[in-house]
Amino acid sequence: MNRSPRRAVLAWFAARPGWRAFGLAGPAVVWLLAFFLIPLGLMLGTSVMPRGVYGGVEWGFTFEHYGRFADRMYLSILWRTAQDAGITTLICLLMGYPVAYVIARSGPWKNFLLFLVVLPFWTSFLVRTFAMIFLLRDTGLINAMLLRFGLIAEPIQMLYTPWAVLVGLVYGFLPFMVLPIYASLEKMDWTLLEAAEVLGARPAARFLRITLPLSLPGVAAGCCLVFIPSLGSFLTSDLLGGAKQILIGNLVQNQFTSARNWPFGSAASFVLMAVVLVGVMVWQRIRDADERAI
Amino acid sequence: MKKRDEAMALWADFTDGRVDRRAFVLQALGLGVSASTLGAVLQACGGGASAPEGSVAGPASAVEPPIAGELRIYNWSDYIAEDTVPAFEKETGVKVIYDMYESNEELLAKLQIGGGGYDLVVPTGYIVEVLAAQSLLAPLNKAWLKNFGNVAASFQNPAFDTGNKFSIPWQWGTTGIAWRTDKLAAAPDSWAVFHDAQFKGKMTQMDDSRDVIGSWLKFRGKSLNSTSAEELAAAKADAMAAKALLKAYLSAPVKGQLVSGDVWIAQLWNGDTMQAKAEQPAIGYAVPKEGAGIWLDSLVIPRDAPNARAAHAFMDFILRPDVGAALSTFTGYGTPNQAAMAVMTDAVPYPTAEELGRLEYQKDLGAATALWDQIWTEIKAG
Repeated sequence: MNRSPRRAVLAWFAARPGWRAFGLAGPAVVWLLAFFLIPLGLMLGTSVMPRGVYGGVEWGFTFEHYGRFADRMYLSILWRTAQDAGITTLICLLMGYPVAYVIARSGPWKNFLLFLVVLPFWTSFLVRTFAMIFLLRDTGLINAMLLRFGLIAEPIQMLYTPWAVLVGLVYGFLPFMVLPIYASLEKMDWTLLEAAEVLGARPAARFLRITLPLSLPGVAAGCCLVFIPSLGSFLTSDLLGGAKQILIGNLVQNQFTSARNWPFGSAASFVLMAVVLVGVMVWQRIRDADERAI
Repeated sequence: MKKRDEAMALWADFTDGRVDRRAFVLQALGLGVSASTLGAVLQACGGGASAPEGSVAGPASAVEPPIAGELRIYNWSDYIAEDTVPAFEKETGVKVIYDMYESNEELLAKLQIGGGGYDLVVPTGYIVEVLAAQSLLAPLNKAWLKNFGNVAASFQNPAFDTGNKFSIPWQWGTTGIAWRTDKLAAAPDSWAVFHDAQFKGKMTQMDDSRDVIGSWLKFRGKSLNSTSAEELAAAKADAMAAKALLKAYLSAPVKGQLVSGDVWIAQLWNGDTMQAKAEQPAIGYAVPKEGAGIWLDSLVIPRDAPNARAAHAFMDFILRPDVGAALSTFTGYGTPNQAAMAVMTDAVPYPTAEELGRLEYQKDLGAATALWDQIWTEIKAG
């Protein structure tokens, strides 16, 4: 028999399902081990070592860097960060859900509308954030138009306010809310709504009792995709907030640069990670409970 | 006789591992040890085949490694004339790879984790000290710096690097106040202007703990290198009173907003102010009467630089009068190069004795960095 090497390899894997799974997942597993787990381990090690005067670490073991989070100031930074991320997620949800709904029901326009949602990704987030500065600043486009039409007498300070940070975050993360919700609505069997209508359910009831529960996995995914990166963001608050507020992301960044305190920066990252993990676990519990109730 | 002693000391350092192979070769060459001898020595130590740049190929070849290959430079943004790199490439055939950073700390962090593979970087004086203390720098070979004599005496032998063992000066400047001459009646001659409520929302300070806290220490007549908890607490209170009136903490990017008129008063470096003034003539610069920061940025070669020879060549290139003059004309900063100063039309004058009395160089804060960061975080979070 004249079998090509390619076939021989395929046959070998076909006979061994365990190795086949490894062959398929292997590259990603190796990648994650090398570029995620190992750095994470290094960070964990750094976070319990004494700080070097010139940056870096010295040999030893200490929990003092975690202990600093008992300080009210660091807790309040953490709390404010969570608040900002929470509000961003909520606004994205309220604005993104209707958009996803419209796209899912838009028939032939579907692909074009989806294309519009992903379009901003063609430019880097940093460049887009800089563009927002030109829109929002005192001599920027928005103020210039309002002045021109006589709606205001003095420019409104929009840039370098907490609002500007929220606007920037929502703008940046909105597509991450729209896409998963769209994906779950798209799979929905719309004839269920017709059945409900025939059985006398009003529009509000149809939405609340059929559409919304069926799209919840998408909502959950969207909320995670928006909430978690918002927690760690530091560029937006620097560029649009004028660096007048400090979020946990800025704190971590400062520790690795001007403060030269790598252990505290690592510890702050782990505290942030713990907050995210607890949040996701609580969320999962609630969902599991819901599913059991149904 | 002296050379012989130096050579013996170097040999001892090398065999004890205090000097690595590369530094050993460079220093030995500097001492006039012949290339063939070196090659034999390294061979005897095992693995001598990896002697750098094939410079020790044989007795016939020059003692100096050739100026060739790639040169990786890591510098601040907007901090070089447009034709400096192309002219150097054209003259030497070296290909330059040029990257930029925004703060000393960014540079320091990168060098500490051994990243980048850079041949030349441009830290401020107090960072040169930190890098040297951590043995992250390669010593200079003065034999390759024929133009070193062009450096003004006052910028030679700086306190942060005695004897210019590791550094040659790049540019110097001050951190004062840039202001719009069409919006203010008089020059802001005091840091107190940042406490003036009539300019609320029109002022910025730099996004840098050393510059912000330093300015408020100067305001109270203290050293901007203070590590006293009491003085720093007073500076924090002043900084927070100013923060309520500030539009933002903004470093180099404030130039655009000074030009557009969004910002009227900004803590900024003198050269960046001049760069903004090139676009908007109604911009002035003032050094507050209470004093301000002065700094000298220097070219240094990281310890693991792959192409130290080309790095030296670039340093020597910069030290030429014409190149140094073009550099400072573009950046708007002061040149430490006396020969360049002589051929410039409107060079930044060297500070007068009276001004020097008010100006202060930043020093590394050492262990007090933690206290400064605590205060900076409190200012930002408050």
